[in-house]
Amino acid sequence: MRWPLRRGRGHSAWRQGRARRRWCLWVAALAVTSLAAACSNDSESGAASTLDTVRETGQVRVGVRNDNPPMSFIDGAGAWIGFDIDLANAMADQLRSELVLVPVTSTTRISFLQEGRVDMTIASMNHTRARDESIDFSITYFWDNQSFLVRAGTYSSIDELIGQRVAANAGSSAIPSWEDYVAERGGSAPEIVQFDDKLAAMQALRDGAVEGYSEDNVTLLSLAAGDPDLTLLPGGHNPVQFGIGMPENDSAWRDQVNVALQELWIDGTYAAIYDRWFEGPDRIIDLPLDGEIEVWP
Amino acid sequence: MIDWLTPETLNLLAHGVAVTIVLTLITSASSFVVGVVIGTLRLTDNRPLRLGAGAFVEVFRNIPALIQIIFWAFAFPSLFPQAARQAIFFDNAVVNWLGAVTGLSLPYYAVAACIGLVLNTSAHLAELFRAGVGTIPKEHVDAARTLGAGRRAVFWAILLPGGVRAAFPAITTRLIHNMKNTALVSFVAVPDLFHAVQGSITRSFRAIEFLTLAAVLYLLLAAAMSVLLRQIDIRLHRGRGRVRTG
Amino acid sequence: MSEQADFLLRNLPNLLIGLPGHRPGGLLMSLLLAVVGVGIGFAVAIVVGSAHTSRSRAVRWVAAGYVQVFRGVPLILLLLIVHQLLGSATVLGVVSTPLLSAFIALVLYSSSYQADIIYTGLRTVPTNLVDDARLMGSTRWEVYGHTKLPYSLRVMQPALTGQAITLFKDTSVVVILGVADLTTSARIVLGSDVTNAPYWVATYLTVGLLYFVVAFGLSRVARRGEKRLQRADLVHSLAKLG
Repeated sequence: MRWPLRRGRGHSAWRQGRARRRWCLWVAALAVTSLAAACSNDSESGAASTLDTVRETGQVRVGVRNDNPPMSFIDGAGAWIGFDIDLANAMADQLRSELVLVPVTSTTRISFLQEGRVDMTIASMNHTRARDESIDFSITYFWDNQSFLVRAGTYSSIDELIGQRVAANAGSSAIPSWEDYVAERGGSAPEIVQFDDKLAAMQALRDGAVEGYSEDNVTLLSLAAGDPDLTLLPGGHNPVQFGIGMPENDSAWRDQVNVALQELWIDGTYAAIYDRWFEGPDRIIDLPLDGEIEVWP
Repeated sequence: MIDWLTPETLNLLAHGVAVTIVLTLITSASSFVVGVVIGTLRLTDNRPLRLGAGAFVEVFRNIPALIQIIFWAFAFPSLFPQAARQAIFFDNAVVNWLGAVTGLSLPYYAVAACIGLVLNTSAHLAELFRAGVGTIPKEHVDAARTLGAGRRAVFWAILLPGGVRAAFPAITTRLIHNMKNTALVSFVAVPDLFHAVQGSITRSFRAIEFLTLAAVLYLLLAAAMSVLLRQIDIRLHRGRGRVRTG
Repeated sequence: MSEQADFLLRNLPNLLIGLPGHRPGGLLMSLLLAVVGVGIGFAVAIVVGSAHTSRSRAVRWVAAGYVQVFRGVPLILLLLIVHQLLGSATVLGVVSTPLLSAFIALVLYSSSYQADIIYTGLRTVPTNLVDDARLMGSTRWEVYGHTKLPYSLRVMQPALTGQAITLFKDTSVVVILGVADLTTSARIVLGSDVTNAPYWVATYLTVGLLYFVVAFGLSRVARRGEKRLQRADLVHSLAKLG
């Protein structure tokens, strides 16, 4: 919009002056951004146990995902449902608190905990040592493995995928695990394409861009449920254990959450929830229970 | 102090910055050329060509770049039979050569992203160029014609430089917008800066640090582009008044 | 072919007003995002754009920095940053959601572009207009409110409407936060059933068409409005001359 005003000769000196001023502006902009970042880092939260805040407010803020059927997703009527959602409700009852669901993604499910924005995340999160450096985990509440989804009739075991181009979700624990699995069997470093979006990865698999797609089997089964063109290879390269994420170094809160989980196991609530999603007649996918929650005497 | 920048993430980010810069250069240059061609076609006397160019501009600038990128990457291949898709898009001599040269796993997705970005940006540039040509005094063209200059000569000596010169500040703004739009290629698994930042966050769980770093890097890129294009702008105006004979 | 048509017909409401339980969503949400982003962004832009012409150097620099930062960062990154900073914080009594983050990021983004346009307009106000107003005894603020700002807005109106339409198209990137706009709704529709895989082309063509119809339609309406305004202006000035 400015250009009609700029016509005319002999403006190059003036223009150069403007160019210099422009530089200064950019430097100022960068300074402001860095300052903002510095401030935001300082504001990280205080020392009181989450247990105190939950008791005080009578509310427990649980981070859950909304795009991960059958663990947690939004159904056709807009209701938030899934295994993790049922578990979140049961945990809130157990903790005698009102449940506040906070949507998280695979990126924010850890950072929101670190910044005290949620009290726990029940977000189909594998307990790994790397993650444990940033947050704490409850005892294991879900057992699964990571295999590959492939186009029907192309491969019959995961070992046949060594040396093939495969897809994984960005940042998924399936990536380092598959790298290790391949290395242990003497293969060269695998080519893993990282997708931000599961639908995109599925489309890449269907189109032949990749030969397999690795993620938690529960997720793969639900993504491919009812599609005769795709099959899940048996077994897996990464047995995974889901834990509830909690803020780092808050032992009072961690104990409370672990005990609540054990109570749900003892009184049969856990079995009822598992049955609803994975074993019972109305199950969405078939995934027999493959572990048990430890119970402290 | 900066314990969150591990060699691994640093490497990832450096690679991402390189991809973003290369994508920006390729899409900016292609968009400029396509934009000038389409903008010129909108000024011709040939009615079908003019209407076609007009349709190009309206269609591709009124559909969000993100939709265009996703369309070319994930929807377009499914127009072909499933059995043939792999050979057409992901496993043939051309694609494998591209992959070897660029180091990208799936070069087709990068190509699809570029197509989406170039169509979108060139449609905007075509309109800016056309408006720029519109500011050239008609007498200049008439004078050249009277002096016996052919249509080609008039285009190369007057319309092209004059149009670009007049529209250059607006073109600069649009090209910087295009640079920012390259962040959208992460939606189609192209490992650019934005993709690298998201990858770093899921690896290190330090969201705000990496997001801020990304913001600073994008600001730096925008600043560099702004300064570079400003220099070109100054050059363009320094040459003013010199008449090419043809 | 009829399967494709069936699928589209079945899902058209989902794309237009959102999926059940996500309403308002779809195209309606895209429009809502754009209206809020442009509307509140306009108010912010008047302040920032005016501050950019302030006599105080510090104020000028803050305004310039604001414009430079929010225009230099990709909207998609801005969305993530705002969402990360807000988290589940309570803002003005509202528990933060992805939608609130999207609104805030869009306001920041849109206001920076609009502020720059208004600033440019303010600088093109003819000095004799300002001098005349001052001679008539108007205070600095009166000159600003009655002469400079209206002049700038009038001159820059085409640029401002152009920016508004651009923002409407840019809202598509809120898909990164999962806000149920048109782009996200298309994603949900395609992902809601594994048998929907053959409908990617039809769905994205429809989505593209919907964005096109709105953006192209708005730009046509805006252009007609501008022409009418210009004609009115001419009449106005002639009347004054008479």
